[in-house]
Amino acid sequence: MPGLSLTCPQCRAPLGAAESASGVFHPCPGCAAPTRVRLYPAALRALAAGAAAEPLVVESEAACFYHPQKRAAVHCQGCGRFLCSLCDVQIGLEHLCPGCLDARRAQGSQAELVRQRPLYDSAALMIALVPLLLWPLTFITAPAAIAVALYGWSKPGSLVRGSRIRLLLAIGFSLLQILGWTLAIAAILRGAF
Amino acid sequence: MYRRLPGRSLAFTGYHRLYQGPDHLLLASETGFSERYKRFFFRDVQAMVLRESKAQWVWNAIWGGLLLLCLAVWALALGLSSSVEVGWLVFGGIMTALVAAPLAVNVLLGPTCHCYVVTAVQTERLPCLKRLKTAERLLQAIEPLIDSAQGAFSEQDLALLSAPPPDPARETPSAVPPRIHEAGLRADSGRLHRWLVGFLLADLPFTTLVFLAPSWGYVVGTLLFSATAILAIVVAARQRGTNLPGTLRALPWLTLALLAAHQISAVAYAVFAGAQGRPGLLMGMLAMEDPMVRGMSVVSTVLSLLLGVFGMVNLRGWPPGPGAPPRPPGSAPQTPP
Repeated sequence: MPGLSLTCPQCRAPLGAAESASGVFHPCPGCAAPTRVRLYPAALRALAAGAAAEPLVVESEAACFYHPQKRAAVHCQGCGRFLCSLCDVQIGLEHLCPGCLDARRAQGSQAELVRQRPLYDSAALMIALVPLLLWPLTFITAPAAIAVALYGWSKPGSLVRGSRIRLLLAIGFSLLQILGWTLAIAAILRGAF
Repeated sequence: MYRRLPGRSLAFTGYHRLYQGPDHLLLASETGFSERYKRFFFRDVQAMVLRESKAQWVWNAIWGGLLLLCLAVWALALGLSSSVEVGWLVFGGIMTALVAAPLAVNVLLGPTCHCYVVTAVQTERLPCLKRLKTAERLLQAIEPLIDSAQGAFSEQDLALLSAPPPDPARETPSAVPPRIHEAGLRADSGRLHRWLVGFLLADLPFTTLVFLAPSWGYVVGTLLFSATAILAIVVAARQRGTNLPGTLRALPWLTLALLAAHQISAVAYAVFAGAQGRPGLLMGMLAMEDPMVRGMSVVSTVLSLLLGVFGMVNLRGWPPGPGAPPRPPGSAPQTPP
């Protein structure tokens, strides 16, 4: 059976095909834990073989930038270089060469390639709120929170949270803290305390 | 671009959530000030595996035990005091409610499970799906997308699925899919578990010492208690992903449960004694001349001994010899003839 090699994620005991197809809970043959498998057609289909690059037949044919002996199949939509089937990487609807793929991954400009993002909004909000527990620290942390929020304003943030509400909240809380310090200092200078 | 899906969890490893992308499932894990992403493309998902876990029963037992303890202390306080004080009633009621609420929530949320997404090259746990109901809702949400990406089962596929399963006894090791070997469990000799058993068994001489010389025996007993708790936590953390049997895996958790029960009951009795006008107990100076304290110490020592013997029995014949057949975790270890 191509592809069907399901095992219990805990004890690695093979799960039977009939049990996998039934869609109800069955005890695992290895650890006896009630296990239910929802099987999809991809489990029974063999993996598609990778495309092989074709060799050049005549010298006048367009050749791959990275493999001069291979026939070009597409061009990179990032840099325009000709690519053979081996070098072509398809991301969504775009065809890219390995160099452009690495560059976009490093820039974090393409959502499909992003694996990790720093969260400046969470950091700014944390810097603005947590020091309230030790309020004298806010003299330093309030401006720091604003600086982090402004630095992160134009940076790409979370893939799944589109809004800048945390950055705005961080700036708002920090401004309030700065206002409080300003009033306190003004009162001290006036001799109110 | 991304739509939020059912399921979220907050754990030591971070805050996890699932999102639906245009052609994939996105697992976003927020750890500190960064967010990590894992993508599972609908066209690649071979199966979703749901495995029932015992977490709900464990939490029910913990919260239920605490509730019983609260009720017992409350009833004891009311029964022993000469006049019923409103303060005790309110305090007991609040404590009972604080323990009963999580128990009720745990019961209402339903059975717990582990959910895994299986592709051709990985089996990845979705840590944000811990309840069966939530996992069902997620499957309802993504199954149409998987179906539209992969199409329906062909008649040949259905024939394969309805075929009788192969006889496992006739399968040779080479017939086992390669990823079973690659994703093997870490071998554990059970050395830390042996240390833990030693600490549990050491409770008897140390408790005897506490009875004979309470002044410094109490200090040594407290040190042993702390060392056992720390060792149990270390053992529980280190045994993850090992080939240890389920009974040995339970040992550190049972030890922690015993220590927690002992500590909670001691604190509860100390609070009760403080309310009775014996503040020395409330300050943690448990006097061995108190019959209740002596009784609790004896019960705790007996339970420690039983746990130690339980560990010793299960550690016999572990690790299995090189010629021993492979054994799935969770089953009992083989003892030598």
